Amino acid sequence: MVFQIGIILLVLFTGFRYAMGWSGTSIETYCPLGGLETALSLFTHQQFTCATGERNLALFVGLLFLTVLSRKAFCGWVCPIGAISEWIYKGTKYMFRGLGKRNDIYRNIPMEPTRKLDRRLRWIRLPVLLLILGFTFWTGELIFRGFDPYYVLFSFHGHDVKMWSYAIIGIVLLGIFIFPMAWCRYLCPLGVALWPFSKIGRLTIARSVEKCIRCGECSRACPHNLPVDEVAEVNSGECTLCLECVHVCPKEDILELHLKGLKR
Amino acid sequence: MRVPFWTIPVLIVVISLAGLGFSYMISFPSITVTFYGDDQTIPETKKIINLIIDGVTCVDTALKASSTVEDVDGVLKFTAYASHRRVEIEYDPSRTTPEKICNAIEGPVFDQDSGEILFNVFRVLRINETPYHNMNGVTFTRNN
Repeated sequence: MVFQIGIILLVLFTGFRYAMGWSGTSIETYCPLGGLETALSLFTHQQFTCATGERNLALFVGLLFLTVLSRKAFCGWVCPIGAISEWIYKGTKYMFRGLGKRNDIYRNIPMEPTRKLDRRLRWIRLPVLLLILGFTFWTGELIFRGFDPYYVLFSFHGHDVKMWSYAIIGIVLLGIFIFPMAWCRYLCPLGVALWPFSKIGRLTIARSVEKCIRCGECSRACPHNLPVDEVAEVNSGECTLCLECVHVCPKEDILELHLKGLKR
Repeated sequence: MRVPFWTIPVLIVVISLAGLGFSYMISFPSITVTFYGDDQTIPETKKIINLIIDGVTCVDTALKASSTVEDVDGVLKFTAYASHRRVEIEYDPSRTTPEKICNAIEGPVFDQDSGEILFNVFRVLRINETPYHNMNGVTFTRNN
């Protein structure tokens, strides 16, 4: 959490400096998705798309390396929207735990879909990604800027941010409030772009099957609803290595971080 | 093999710094516009100024900014790095000065047919005649 707060403060500082005209570096230049958006244009037209640049591209390549090593650690540790989603999720759970005891209406908030439905809904991200990449390449403009929660929240009313942008972000935040990590799970285009690389990630959460008391706390704490207590190793491409499962585990040394491919 | 949990933030920091360092070493322009023909020779005394321009945010605005210096005699080449709001201008010092170039950038652009102002949106925040990587220590802020 300290790491995430630090990142958010850095992003706010960068956004504020740019908005005040004290710096020429916008927060957009630190968005790795911009690197993916501009890659095709750079290879075909030898030109960056809109406001993207070499920093986006280098960070995206770096992110691919990071993902192959440590799955979606970027989402769980660096992404400001991931951090905000996680805090909303934890806050909602804490807030409605007490209310749920008194009234059934609150018991199901946040609403966790079944794992089967959750897996299917995650595919929504693919058309979102294709739509963004296609239109960005076609128009040469970052036309979805006004819909991007990262840009809208941290650019201090930057270029292309309109009133409806805030309305959309409000709806997204409300969605996260009701459905845990809704943006990351069902809408984030970067999340689906990273998924194949994350799937082959080398770092993994390993569970000691012999020592585990199967209380299920780890699975209940997982912001991505992964069945940690049912597997020996969490090999899901959606694992962000946020370590929530490790923190809530009542026994020591049951959940560990392992580097796959190397013997103990 | 079991690894400590601090491996994750360490990996993130190392790879992020490597990415940022690499991006600092490479530099691709958003647009490059040349204002001389193939038959013209570039004077050996040509100079380069680096400008940070408020309003240059993307390829489109960089193209607009290039049109502000199109008619300035002596401007040879306009290269924009939109993600940094940075513009590099090559000019012939015997025909123009940085001051004239900045005035043109900050001045309005008129429609050639109607004479109406098309746009007047750019503001030069910094001027530097040293290479880009030495620009962090700003040497000169222009007084308007």
